[in-house]
Amino acid sequence: MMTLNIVVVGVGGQGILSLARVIGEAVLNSSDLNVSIAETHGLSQRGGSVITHIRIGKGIFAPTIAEGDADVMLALELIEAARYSSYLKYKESIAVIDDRLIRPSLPKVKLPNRDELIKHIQDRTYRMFVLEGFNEALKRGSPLSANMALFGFISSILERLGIVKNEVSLKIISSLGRSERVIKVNKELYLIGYEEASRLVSSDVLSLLKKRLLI
Amino acid sequence: MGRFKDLLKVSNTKVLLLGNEAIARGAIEAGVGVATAYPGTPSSEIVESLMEVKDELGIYVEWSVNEKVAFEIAYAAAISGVRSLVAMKHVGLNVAADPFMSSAYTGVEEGFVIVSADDPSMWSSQNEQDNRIYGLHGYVPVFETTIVSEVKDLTKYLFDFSSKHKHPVLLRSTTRISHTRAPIMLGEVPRKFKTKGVFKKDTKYVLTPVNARRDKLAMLERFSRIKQDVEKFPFNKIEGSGNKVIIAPGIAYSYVKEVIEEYNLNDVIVVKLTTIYPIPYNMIADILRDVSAIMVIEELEPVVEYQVKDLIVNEGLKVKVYGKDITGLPYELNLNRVKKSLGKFLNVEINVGKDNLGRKQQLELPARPPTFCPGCPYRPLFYAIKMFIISKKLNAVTPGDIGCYALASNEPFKLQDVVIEMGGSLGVGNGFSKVLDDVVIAFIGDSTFFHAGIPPLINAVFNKSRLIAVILDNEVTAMTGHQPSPASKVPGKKRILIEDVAKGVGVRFVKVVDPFKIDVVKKTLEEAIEFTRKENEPAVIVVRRRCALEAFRDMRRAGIEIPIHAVDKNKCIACGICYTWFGCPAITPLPDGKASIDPGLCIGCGACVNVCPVKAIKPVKTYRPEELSKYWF
Repeated sequence: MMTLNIVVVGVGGQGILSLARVIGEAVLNSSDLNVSIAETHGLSQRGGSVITHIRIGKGIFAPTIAEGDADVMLALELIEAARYSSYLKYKESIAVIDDRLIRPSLPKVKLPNRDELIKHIQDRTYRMFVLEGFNEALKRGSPLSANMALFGFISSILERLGIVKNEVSLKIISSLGRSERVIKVNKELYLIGYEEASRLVSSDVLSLLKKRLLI
Repeated sequence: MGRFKDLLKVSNTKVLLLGNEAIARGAIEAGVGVATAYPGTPSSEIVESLMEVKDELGIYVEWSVNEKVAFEIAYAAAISGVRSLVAMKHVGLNVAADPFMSSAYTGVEEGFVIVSADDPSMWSSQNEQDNRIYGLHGYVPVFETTIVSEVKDLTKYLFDFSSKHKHPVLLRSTTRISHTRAPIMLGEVPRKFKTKGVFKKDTKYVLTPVNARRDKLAMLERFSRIKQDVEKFPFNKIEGSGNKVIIAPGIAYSYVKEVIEEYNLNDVIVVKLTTIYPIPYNMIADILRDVSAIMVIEELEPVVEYQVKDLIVNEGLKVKVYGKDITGLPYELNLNRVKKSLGKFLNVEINVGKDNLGRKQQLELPARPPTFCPGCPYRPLFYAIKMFIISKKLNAVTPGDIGCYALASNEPFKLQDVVIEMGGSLGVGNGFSKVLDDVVIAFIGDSTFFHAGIPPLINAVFNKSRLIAVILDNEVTAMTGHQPSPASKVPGKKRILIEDVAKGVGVRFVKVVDPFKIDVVKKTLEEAIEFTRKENEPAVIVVRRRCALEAFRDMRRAGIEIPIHAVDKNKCIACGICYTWFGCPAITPLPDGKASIDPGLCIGCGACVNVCPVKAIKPVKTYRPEELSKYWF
């Protein structure tokens, strides 16, 4: 029984749960596969470190992904991407990371260097992709839309794997019930991610992930 | 992406539901008439979902003041013939333990489902107590779903089960069930809901000694019928064949099943067990007669393992039972842990993933504990109190409580010295004032105060405890997702002012302050210290400003744009007060030590403006903060 395992990580409040949920809805509404999403609520949501587990496959049982068994990491923040890199299948997984570093709000905290963090993740993955979602979202006056770039990126990959339809993803964004302005920015960010993936994700990456969906 | 409400008209369709939403849906499909709860992670979304649809269905749903009251209301419905559900987090059942025990003695008239959402690994809790044990303690049968996607149908079934046996049932969930989204096949929503009942007076409901003794016998009889009935429970299943047996209760089954399928482990029997207490005795005894070894894989305490061992002694079987000796006691299960346990038990080579676990993390990463949100009124409050304590060289002890303000236990504030349970700040504060000479400053939020803070405050008045109660009123139960508390302004509900309660129970020093006014907070605290020292009795300071998440949501809805703030680099003297002692996540230091405000995190609350000694923090556009005050209070 195979499952595609995706971890979504970041800082509480960045829209991690929403991102996980839209991915789940997109798969469920585009294919006959099952989806399971294990979320983190409550205390850790207040600016803390957050991980959410998405599992896609025919039969899914365990709600969480084992450390060392994630095929994809979607990260909204660099320190958290490094923190949860132990979840990645060593050298046989991909990471898609927003180029955003948020300082933990502790006095005199020693921050790791951005390039070090990126290298750390690169060393553990088959391929790593860095997005500018936050900067693009901030430019458009809606910083919380950064998660939509990651949604666009993974939607493009899942579409090429035959389990998500682009129009389904776009419809989900329209139903996110925020103001027209935010929906517009969300769609723009989605397209940025979608096009980046179309450009950057090569067929070897797809065949790596495809293996996980074979029964 | 639809809301829970939109699904009322949908049936025979698979939708992605959170475990808690599935429990709510199961209750609806079973025709629940009354549902109550006190919010608490990971249980809150059950009654939150029912709250969303109560008007449409015409059912009664409420956020009660605490779990005990919530329990009693749902119990009253069930003994009047109305199907009811009460939901709480695991520690909430401690609060409701009194009526819980009695409810099994009296029994009920209609389906009564008690949902306890436990939190193995303590993601959002003070302990990971295993509430299945409450079932053994109270003669209440306990059920757990074995796969998330079955929890809706199990909930529905349990209403009928409880109704049939006229006995309460405990549906035990966990974080990984309550907070996992899975495809759920929706069933039909009944056309009508029974929300009014009849209470048939009976001495069985009056637990005086003579009646309670009689009830005990009746309860044992009901329980023995329940024991028979779980023998053919439709959610239990025996799978596979072989001479070794794995008994997998609750969510443990999901992990076991996955490992069995992944590694093609055919030569083993797996018992998918939903009925946790009592276990289906004969069903299990029959399997165990001809096997060589048994393993119980369960999360937290060996509740099923003990029952199986008891069975083996009773039946005189000679077979070894493994369980907690291999899986270990603490924390939730995960795939790697179950793989290791099964590998050991079945004597097979199971490699635990291509993991990075053994690989050294060359990078040292800073911790990221949860923190107050940008705009949180609690931050300036704790900043003011911390600065006051430092400047006065005060010996202070600061018992804390359950809520967002428990985050003040972290740097830079360190102002939650004891946090053990709901209402504990004031109770422990009473005690500290008797045995310590320190100034005792106890912190408690509005919802927690109404939940369990009033008796210890009365105790402080009655027994003259020299205690300063700082009651943080953000007018909502914020941590669990903004459910109303009696301090909230909710249309159709009576708001209760904390200062009125304090005065009403005889507190003579009661002041209300705005936490953004740092100097006023300091001055009020100084007066309170003087009062408690002189009079040897409690003082109350109510700190009032709405939760920023709520206030800003309302401002956004009203179309108000609030400018974010920025630091004037020419004025900033790099003193570090704002990013070291105030600790707003949006304020970060630049390499030269000057402050900078992250435009992606600042929400424009302006709380930091008064913190800067040189007035270097300003809004990026001019606006009139006074005009926004109606959203803040």
